Amino acid sequence: MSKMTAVTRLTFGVMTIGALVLTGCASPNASTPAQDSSSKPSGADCTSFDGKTIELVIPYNAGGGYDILARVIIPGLENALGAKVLPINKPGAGGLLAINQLAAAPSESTQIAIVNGTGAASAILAGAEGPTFGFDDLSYIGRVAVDDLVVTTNATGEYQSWDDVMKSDGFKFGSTGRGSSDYIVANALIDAFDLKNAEVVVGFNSQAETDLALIQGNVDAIAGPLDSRRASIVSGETTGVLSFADEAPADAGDAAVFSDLELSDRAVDIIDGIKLITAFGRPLVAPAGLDDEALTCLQNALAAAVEDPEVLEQAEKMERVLSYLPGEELVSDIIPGFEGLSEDVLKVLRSSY
Amino acid sequence: MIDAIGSGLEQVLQWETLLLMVLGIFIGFIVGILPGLGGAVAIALLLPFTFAMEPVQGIVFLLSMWIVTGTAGDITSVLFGIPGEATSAAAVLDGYPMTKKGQAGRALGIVLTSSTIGLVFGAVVLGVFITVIRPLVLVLGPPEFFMLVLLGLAFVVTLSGKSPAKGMAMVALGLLASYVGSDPSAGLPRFTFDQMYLWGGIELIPVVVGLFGGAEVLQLMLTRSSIATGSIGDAKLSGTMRGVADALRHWFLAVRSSSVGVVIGMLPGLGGTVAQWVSYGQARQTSKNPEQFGKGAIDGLVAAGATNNAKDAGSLIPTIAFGIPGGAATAVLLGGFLVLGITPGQAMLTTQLDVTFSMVWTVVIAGILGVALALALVRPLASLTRISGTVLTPVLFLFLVIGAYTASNHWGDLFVMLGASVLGVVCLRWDWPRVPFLLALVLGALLEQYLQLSDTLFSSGWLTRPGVIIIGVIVLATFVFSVRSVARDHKRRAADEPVEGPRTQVIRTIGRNK
Amino acid sequence: MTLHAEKRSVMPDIVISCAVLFVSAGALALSFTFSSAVSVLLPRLAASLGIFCALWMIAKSFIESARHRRDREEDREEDPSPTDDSRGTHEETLSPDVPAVVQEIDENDPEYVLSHTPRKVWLVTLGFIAGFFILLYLCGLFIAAAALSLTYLMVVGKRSSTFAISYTVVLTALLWVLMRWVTYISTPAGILLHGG
Repeated sequence: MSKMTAVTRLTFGVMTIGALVLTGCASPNASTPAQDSSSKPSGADCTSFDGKTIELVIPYNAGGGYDILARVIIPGLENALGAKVLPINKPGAGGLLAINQLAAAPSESTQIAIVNGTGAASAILAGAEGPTFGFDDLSYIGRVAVDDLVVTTNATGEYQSWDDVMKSDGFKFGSTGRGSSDYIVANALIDAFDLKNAEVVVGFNSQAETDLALIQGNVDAIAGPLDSRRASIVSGETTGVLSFADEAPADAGDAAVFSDLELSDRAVDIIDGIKLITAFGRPLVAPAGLDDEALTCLQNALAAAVEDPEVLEQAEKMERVLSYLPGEELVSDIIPGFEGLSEDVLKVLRSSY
Repeated sequence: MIDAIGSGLEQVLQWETLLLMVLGIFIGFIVGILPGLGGAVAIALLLPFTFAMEPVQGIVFLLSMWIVTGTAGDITSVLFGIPGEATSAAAVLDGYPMTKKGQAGRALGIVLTSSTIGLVFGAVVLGVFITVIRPLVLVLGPPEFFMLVLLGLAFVVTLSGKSPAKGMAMVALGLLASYVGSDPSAGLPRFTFDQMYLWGGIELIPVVVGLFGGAEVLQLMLTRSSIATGSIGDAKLSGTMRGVADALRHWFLAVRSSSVGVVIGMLPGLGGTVAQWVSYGQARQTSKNPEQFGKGAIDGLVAAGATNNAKDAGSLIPTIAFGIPGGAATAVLLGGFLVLGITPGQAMLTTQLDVTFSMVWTVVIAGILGVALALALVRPLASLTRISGTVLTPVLFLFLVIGAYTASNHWGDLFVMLGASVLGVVCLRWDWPRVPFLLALVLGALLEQYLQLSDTLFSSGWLTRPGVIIIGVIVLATFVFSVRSVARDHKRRAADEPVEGPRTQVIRTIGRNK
Repeated sequence: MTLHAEKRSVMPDIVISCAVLFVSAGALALSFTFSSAVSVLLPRLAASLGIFCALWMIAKSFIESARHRRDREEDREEDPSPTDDSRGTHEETLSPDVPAVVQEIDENDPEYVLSHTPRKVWLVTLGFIAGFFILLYLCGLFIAAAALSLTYLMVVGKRSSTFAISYTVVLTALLWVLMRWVTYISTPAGILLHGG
């Protein structure tokens, strides 16, 4: 018996030392919110969050683009709110499971989430199986980032410009799967430019794997966010042939933009629709019933977070551009636009699920 | 290249960096010991702390932590029968029976030594091949991957145990389980029973934790004794040294298993979960005592330990060279690279080669330090298995729950874990093999995905690609070889039991025990 | 030894095979209800493999059991055996003289542990498992952990209440500190206590 307790004590000893090691490394950073609390934005009295814990739900696995983005802005949010913000990964159903749960959460919950706004909006508009929430079932804290869409092709292949692509027959876009942004955009381009016999090949595990297939020459192009494409464009393995931005991005200076191209009305219609949905970007959301005061606090906190030097420095290190849009503007400018989308756009969306 | 190797080492050998490495090793050790909490969780938790670090410092910190979780995971598998990580389940099969016989020290000696061999071998391969791997990988398309997945599945025959019918039935169940979730082409849910949780498929971690750990915890609760029941003497350091000697005696097996680990670890999606079983299968095929496998076979444990650590280095190759993570942990590690401003891809193999080599050095140095730490702790760790089972049970329960829940932070994880535990218990009680189920669960979805991709990309033309034909021949050879060795086992067993029937068995056992 | 004696009992294998058959056939049937866009080729192949293997096992088991019944009848003349293995559950297959022998057999063998634990111990164990998960569902991890540790140590472990209470307090506190202060790993929350 005495031996038993000695061993038990030892176990605890080991575990406590472990705990101390962990706390020891946690403490220097944990103290920063307190020091920086003076930089809290004035306006709404946000003492209700002081010392509280907020859970930031990330509906994807750790290590992915959303996960990293969320972790980058968290220090800024903490500095602004004086609260502890914990990232929680809840992957499932392509990111929808966690958002369904959040939309149904009680209004007093201290959970917020980063959302694949483009994906969620497309799914809602297409009437796809999955989302059990509408645009009104969430309150919007603000948009954190948008995806700059580009189309890339193999640098040694036969398609070196968007003109080549338009003349193609049997063009193959690579995609991770139906309903993903790379599928929807490719599908929209095929429809808008009436690409002959073009198809979207699905089933790649990740953007990086699709990129590999492009470099191998197994697919002809990917339509996706520039951030995931940049490495292979810079290394000269792929060529950016088309950009959704108004001006070609610095990394892919030769890419065509829509203003250079002659577009049919229908094409303009579809492209504008995709641009609008893309502009929803990656917003932070909270349950719909959240009271106004708390929402204002969170909105102000995000506004301060995207200006926070700590956040900006980290974003720059990662070559990620934050593209903040206040929650009010999401509600006033972007979401109402979804109702005006033409039947052509909706048809593209529906055929993408 | 020589410059890069030197400069890589130099960057690691800064005192600040080394301090971070030691910290990483400690944290990795603790997290790795906790079942289910593996490298992925550890890296995700500590990612924010790397924001302020220099790139190489951050990499050393994260990598050393991750490398050590593998070693520490094996310790949990051996001592408590709960896989410390999804990738160290094979160590349960032979390590835990040794622990139960009171040979925990020896088992740890074996697994730690073979881990070291695996680590060093993996790091060498990583360093030598990383610069030339790109063209090689570019030849491998979905058709070749499909064939490689088939190769993994061919090992099921060896892992099926005595009855091929039971093994294949478990494969069928595993495949069916792997097809739960959205289908790869249409993205529509199937076999999900209206549960959105299941759209993403059945999570692997809860299955592994339940299938192996759940069943062992139940046994502990039923016997109510401590885990180890043998004589006290074996837990002493001499036992450990005996284990070290055991592993060194099997050095060739360790090297062979390490190469299996590196190669399969390199293949995205397959990774460590498959590598450990393929390696275990080949160890069994070539073993002189295949019937000892699953009951405390030394060669089985050597293979499991070596593979588990070699595969880490292997899975770094596609992560660094293409930004395609080999497994769950490398996926988070990749996120860490991005946080640190390191972009995987061709630049890592040319202009930033020194950074790549600092990773190789970290794998070696941190790995060996981790093993040294583990060896120093063998005695207290082994004595944990002598704590009364009733005292240990509540802690192990927590391990099961937390380990399973980290998969997606959803109650579904716990139900999957409970279901897998029931399956594990049924399999143990009535002698059905568990491993074919697990292997099929991992491979099934990949099989379908690559088949479908091959078909859409090349229609039927993919069948005649040279790579496909070469791997196809290897698959056939593996299959034939496995069937033959299983048949030989069968014959030997039959010869061992000249007269069948319960009574003769009992009499024979009495005779042997006396 | 009994392990072998029980392997002669083919009933469990038949039951498990039937379960495999049921699952596979169910999956196959289900696959016909999906819309045509869903890919079902490999799932159907897997289901067919399952059905085939299950039938194979069932057939094999029946043949084996018939053979053993024959052997048994030959044996019976010298030593009549009370049970018929082909239909016996595991309790029944234990002939009364076997447990004495079993003591000398490897007691760590999982098959042995699972088949020779008295019914009462099984029930208590399963009761604790069920209780733990129900409490976990209702109140979350911390309360469930504390309750399990306290009751299990006192009831099954027969520890003094001082030991059980202090162990429970330390365990729960450590868990709380580790999960809530140090690592922020989220734990299952109960439906009654969201914070738990």
